[in-house]
Amino acid sequence: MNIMTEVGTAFVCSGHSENMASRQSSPGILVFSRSLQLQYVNRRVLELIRNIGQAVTESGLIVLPTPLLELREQIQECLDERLEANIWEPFEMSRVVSKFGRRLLFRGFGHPNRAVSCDSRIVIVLEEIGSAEKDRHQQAHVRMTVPKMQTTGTLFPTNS
Amino acid sequence: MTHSKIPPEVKESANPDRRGGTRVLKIQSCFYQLAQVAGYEIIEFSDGHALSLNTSPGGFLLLMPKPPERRQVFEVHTPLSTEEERTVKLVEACWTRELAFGDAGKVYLVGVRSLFETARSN
Repeated sequence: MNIMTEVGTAFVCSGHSENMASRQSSPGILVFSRSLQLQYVNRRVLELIRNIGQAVTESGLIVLPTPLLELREQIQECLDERLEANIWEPFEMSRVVSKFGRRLLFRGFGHPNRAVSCDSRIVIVLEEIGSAEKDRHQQAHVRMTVPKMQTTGTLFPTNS
Repeated sequence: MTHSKIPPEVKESANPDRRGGTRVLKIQSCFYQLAQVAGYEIIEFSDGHALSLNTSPGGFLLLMPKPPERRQVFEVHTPLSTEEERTVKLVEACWTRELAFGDAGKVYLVGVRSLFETARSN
C-alpha cells in the first residue's frame, strides 16, 4: 500500500456528512482525572445534556447535570478506596436519568492506574435510551467485555 | 448496541514513550475528535481524519494532520471488519513527531496509548 497516497486520501476525504453521522450515533464521553479535572469531553455530551436542561453557558463553561456529578463523585470515592486497598481492577457504576421525557443512561467507569495512581481516571459514557423496550434491549447488551471488570453499581431511575 | 472495554494493561516502563509491545502493521483510515478544555471551559473542538499505521496491545500509531498535545486525551473512531460496527477509542497521546508532507504541508506521527473503548453498531 502506498502510504503517501493513503495519507492524501484520508485527509482529503474527511466528508462532513460522515463526520456528522459518526457524531450522531456516538456516545457522549467525558474523562476526568482522579482529582476530578476534566480531561476530555465530546460534542455529543453537550447535545445530550442540553436535552435534559443543562448546557454550556455563554462564556463557554460546561454545566454538568447533578446526577452526573453525583455519579462522578461516587466513582471517585470508590476509586480512592480501591487504590488504597491495592485493588486494580476497573469497575463500572451506572444510573438512568429521566427528565423532560428524555432518558439518559450514564455509565461511569473507574480506571485505576497501577503504575501511577494519580493517573487513574474516571470515564463517563452518556447514551440516550428511548422506549422501555429499547432500554431493555440496550441493558441486555451493555456489558464489559473484559472479565475482570466489576460492576459495583446498579441501575436505578432518577426522576428529577 | 454498545459494548465497552478497557484495553489490557501494559506495564509502564521508566520511559513513558517506550513501546508497549509488538506492533502489527495495520493501515486504516479513522476519524478523531479533539477537545481543548481549560477547567470546565471548552476552548475548541476539532475533528478530522487520520490514518492508523500500526497497532499493539496497548496502543497504536496515528498519522494526523494536526498534533494533539502530549498526554492529551482524545477520541478515535475506527471501523471494524464487518463495516457495520466501529469502535470508539479513548486514547492518550504519548509522543508526536512532525513530518514534512508534500511541497508545503506537515503531518504528525502520534503514538497513542489506549485507555478505553466501546464498540457500536452503525
